[in-house]
Amino acid sequence: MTRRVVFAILLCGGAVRAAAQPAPAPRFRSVAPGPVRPMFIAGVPDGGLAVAGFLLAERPVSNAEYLRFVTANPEWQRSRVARIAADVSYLRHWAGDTRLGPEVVPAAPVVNVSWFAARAYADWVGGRLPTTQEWELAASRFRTSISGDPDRVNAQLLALSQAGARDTTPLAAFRIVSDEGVTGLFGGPSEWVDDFNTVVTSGESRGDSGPDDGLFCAGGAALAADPSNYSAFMRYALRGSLRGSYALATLGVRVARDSPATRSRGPR
Amino acid sequence: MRRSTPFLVVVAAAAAVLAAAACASPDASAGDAMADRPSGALPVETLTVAFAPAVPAAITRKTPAKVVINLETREIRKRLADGVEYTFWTFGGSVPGPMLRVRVGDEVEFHLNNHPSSQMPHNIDLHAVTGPGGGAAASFTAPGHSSTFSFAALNPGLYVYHCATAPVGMHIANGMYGLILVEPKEGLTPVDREFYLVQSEFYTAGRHGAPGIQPFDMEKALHEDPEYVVFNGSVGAVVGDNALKAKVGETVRMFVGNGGPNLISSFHVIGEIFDKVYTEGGSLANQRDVQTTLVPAGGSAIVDMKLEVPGTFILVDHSIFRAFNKGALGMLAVEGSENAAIYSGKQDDQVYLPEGGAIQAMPVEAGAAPERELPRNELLARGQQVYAANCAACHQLEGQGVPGAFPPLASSDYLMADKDRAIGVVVRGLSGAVTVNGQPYNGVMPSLQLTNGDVAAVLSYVRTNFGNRATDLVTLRDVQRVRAAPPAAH
Repeated sequence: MTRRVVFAILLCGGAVRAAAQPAPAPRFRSVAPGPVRPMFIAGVPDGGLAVAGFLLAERPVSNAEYLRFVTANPEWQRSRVARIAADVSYLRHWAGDTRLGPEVVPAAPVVNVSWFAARAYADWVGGRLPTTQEWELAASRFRTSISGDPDRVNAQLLALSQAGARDTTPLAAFRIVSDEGVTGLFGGPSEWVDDFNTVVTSGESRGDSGPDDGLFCAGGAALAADPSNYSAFMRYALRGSLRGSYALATLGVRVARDSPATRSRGPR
Repeated sequence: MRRSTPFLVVVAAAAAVLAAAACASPDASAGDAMADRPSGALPVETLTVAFAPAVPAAITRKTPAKVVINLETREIRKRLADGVEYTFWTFGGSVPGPMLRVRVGDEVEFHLNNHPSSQMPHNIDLHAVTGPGGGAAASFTAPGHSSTFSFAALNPGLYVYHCATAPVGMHIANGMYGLILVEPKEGLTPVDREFYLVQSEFYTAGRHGAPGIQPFDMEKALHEDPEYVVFNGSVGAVVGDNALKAKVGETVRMFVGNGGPNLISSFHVIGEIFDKVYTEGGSLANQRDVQTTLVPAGGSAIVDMKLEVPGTFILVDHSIFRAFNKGALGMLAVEGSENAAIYSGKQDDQVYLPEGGAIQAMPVEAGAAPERELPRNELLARGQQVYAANCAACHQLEGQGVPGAFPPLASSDYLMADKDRAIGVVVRGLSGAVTVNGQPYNGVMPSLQLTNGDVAAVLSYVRTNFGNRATDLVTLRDVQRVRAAPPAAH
C-alpha cells in the first residue's frame, strides 16, 4: 500500500520531492539449501559446494525504493556520494539527487548503483547482498518453472540472458519466476553479489598466468565446471570486470538475509 | 611464437622451442622492428580506421610513430538477412569491426571503450600483439568504462583481432572481430584498389531465413553447424549495389579475414586466379597463381589479382553449400571493355545428338505413358516432389531464393504476375535481367527437361505455396499450349 502511494506521488509530477520515509521491508522468499557447482573453483567435490538455505528478496530493488534510501541517507545522493564509493555513472539516469525525472520508471529496477551503495542499501533495509554461491543457488531453481525439458533449461536461460532488459521495464513485467518464487533473476539487469571480486581461478594449470586473467579466451573454459553453461559464463565475466565503485546501466541490486535457522547459529 | 595457450601444452612447448630458435637467428624480425626506433619521443598520430569493405590508406611515413587507436564496443540490433535481425556484439558498431593499419615498429596506444548500454564486459585480443592474451587481460572492460594498454607492433602481417571475454565463442559468434594490418617497413606493393573482407558464421535459434529477431544458439555453435555463413556481417553485404567495384586493367588486393568462430574458409573468386597470395596473412607473398586459398578461423590471407576482363566475379567460400545455401557469397563487379582473346563468352550453341539425327523426341517423354490431368491433391503432391528434385537447390526449400543470385519464388510478384510466362520460364529457361520483389537479378536458369505433367504439377505447387495464393492450378493443357506457342519476350 505504501508503495502505491509513493508511485502515485511520483507519477503525479516528477518535480515532487519525496519526503524521507522508513525503509521498505523487502518481501523475501526462502531458498532451500543445496549444492552449487561454482564455475571457477578447483577442487570442488563432485557433488558441488553445500550452500545453506537463506532468504532472497522476491524482486530487485526499484527506483522508487532506492529514492527513499537516498532521501533518508543524503550521503548516498548523487552529488554528495564519495567518489571512492561510487563512480561518475552513479544514478546518472536520474534527473537529480532526489528526483527520478520523466524518463525513469519508478517501478523498474534501479541500476547505476555501485557495490558500496548496494551494500549500504541492503544494510538500511535490514539485509545484506547475496553471495555468489547463494545467487547461483537461487538461479539454479528453474527445473520445473521454465520448461518440461531439463536439458533445455541452460539454453532457455541463455536466451533470456541475451534478451536483457531495458531499465524502463517495470518489475511487474518480469514473468520468469523461479521454482521458489523469485522474479527477475533472468531477463532483467544483472545484480551485485557481495563477493563479486572473488571471481578468480586457482591458477594451478596456468603456470605463466596470474590468478586474475582466467576469464579470457579459451582460458575461461580450462577450469570451468560446466563449459556449456553460457549464461553463467556471462555472469561470472561481468562480475570479474567490476570494481566496487563501478555503477553500470545494466547492473542492479537485490537484498538477501540469513534464514532464521542460520541466524540463530550466530554470524556467518 | 606469440603466446601459449593452456589447452595446447605440447604445441606451446614446441612454439617455445621455435621462439628460442628464432631469437637466436640473426634475421629475427622482432629485433629489427625495434632497431630503427629513434631515441627521442615518437611523433603521435590518431589512427583513422575504415569500415568494410573500405581499407585505411597506405602508410606513407618511413619511420615509426606512436599511434593512438580508439575503439568502442557496442551491442546493437541489426539486419543479418532480409527479415532477420540479430543482436550483434560489435567493435565500432559494425561487423566486422573496422580495419586498423599500422606500421612495423609503431608503438600503439590502444583505448578500448565499452559503451554504457552494453550488457557485457568486453576486451580485445589482437593477434598482432606480442604479450600474454594479446591484450585481452589488459583491455578487459566493464560496460561504461574504458581501458588503455600499449604494445609495439613487432611483426608485419595481417592479423585478426577479436573479443576474448568468456564465453569467448559467444563473443566471437556475435560479431566481435576485425583485422589489423601491420605494414612492413618498406610498405606493401602498391595496387590500384584494396578491399577488406571478413568471413564469419552465425548460429541462430531459428533456421536459415526464419524471420524476426534471432538469438544465439549455443547447441548449434557447439556442433559447428551454422545457419548463416556470410561475408562482412550479413547476407548480401557484398552483392548488388554493395558489390566491390573495379575496372579492367586494375590490380586489386583483398585483405581477407576469417572471424570464424568455427569454420575454415576456402576462399575463391569465381573466374579469377590470385596472381599473388600472402598465405595466412604473413608478410611474404609466397605463392603465385592460386585458385583457392585457405583462411583459417582466427586467421587471414592477402590476395592480389590483375583484372583482365569485365563482368561480375563471384566471391565464395568454396565449401560450396555455404555459398549456395548459407550466404557466403559476394561480388566483384568489373567494368571495362571485353577482351575476346582472353575470354570469348559463348561462341556457339548447337544441338548435340549422341545417337545421331534420327531421334527427335525429348528423352524424358520417350516411352512414357500418355499423361492425364491429375486431381488437385495428387497434382500438388507430385509438384512438391518435382520441386525438391529440380528447383530447391537454387530457389531453396522454402522458395526464399538466395539474395543477389537466385530470385525468390516465395511471395514472388514476378512468378504470380503471369501464369503463361511462368510456364514458359520452366519450359524454356530464362536469362537476362529481371526484377523480383523489387530486387534485380541477372542470371541464367536452364531449360528444365521436365514432362508437361511435371511442369503443371510443380507450378501448381509453387503458385499455391510459400505465401503465393493462386486460386487456379496449372493444367496439362496450359503447359501444352505454352510449349506450342512461340517464345515471348520476357
